[in-house]
Amino acid sequence: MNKTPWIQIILRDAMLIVALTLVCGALFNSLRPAGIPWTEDWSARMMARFEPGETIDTARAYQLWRDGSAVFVDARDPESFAYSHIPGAMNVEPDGDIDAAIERAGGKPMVIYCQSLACHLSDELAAIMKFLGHENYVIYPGGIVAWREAGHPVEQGPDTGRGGAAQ
Amino acid sequence: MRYVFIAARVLFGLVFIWASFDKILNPDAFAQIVYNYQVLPDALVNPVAIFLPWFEMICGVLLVIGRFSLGAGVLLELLLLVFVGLLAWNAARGLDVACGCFTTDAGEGNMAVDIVRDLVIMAVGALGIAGDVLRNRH
Repeated sequence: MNKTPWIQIILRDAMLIVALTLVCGALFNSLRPAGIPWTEDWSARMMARFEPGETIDTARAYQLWRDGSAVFVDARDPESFAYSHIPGAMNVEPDGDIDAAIERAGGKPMVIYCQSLACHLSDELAAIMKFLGHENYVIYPGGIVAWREAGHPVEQGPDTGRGGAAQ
Repeated sequence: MRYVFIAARVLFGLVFIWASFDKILNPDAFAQIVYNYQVLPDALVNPVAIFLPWFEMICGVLLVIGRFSLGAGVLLELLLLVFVGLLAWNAARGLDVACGCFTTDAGEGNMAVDIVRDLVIMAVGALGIAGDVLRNRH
């Protein structure tokens, strides 16, 4: 009995659903105390979790890497590390052997990084280092993503233990 | 058979009502998750976090009560298609994305499980939509 074409029914339903979604979402978010801003600068928000002076940008990271004046520490899992990492970096997960890593760094400052600003593994590793009394590090929040986007070289393969001060 | 179609439609709707509940109650936590996926520009993260859960909730409710359910079913199938596409795209980018940022488990296995789960939900939804289409024809 219903000869309305499917596409017409679907479009009618879709318009109703979209309208309801906009009304409910807008009302709920503006009325409730836990509502969030309609739009937000997420990069700024993600950077706000770091202490001033605790982080470096890509240019500074590249400079330190080129000069060999710091040891790079990749806080991601070994699979991600093997896929691509900053050349010469060592792979130390937050639950890994941090004392051994500090030893491998040989007194040089460490540059801790992970995937990107969205990744918290660098923060975790840095917090543990701090707890262990080792504060000779900086965090590179841009991580491997920012490094690659800047066109800097990457390396593949597992951590063979050669990364560190003695490379 | 008619009841199988109805059951599939209701089940499909319930899945999305259930999935949207926590996101509606915790928009900031959901916005964080959306940001973590790194597929949207910063400016779109919060709008998606505000409206997407309501979209799921409304479609889910309409499917359960059986009103405007053809459109709701088709829209949710499209949404699932986008989800599966993103998951598959991430899987194709390999371990590059499985950075352990979102979960401490190994990434790839989970991603495969997620894709299969979404495909199963899509199949249930398709059954529900088929029911609607057949009902309209008679």
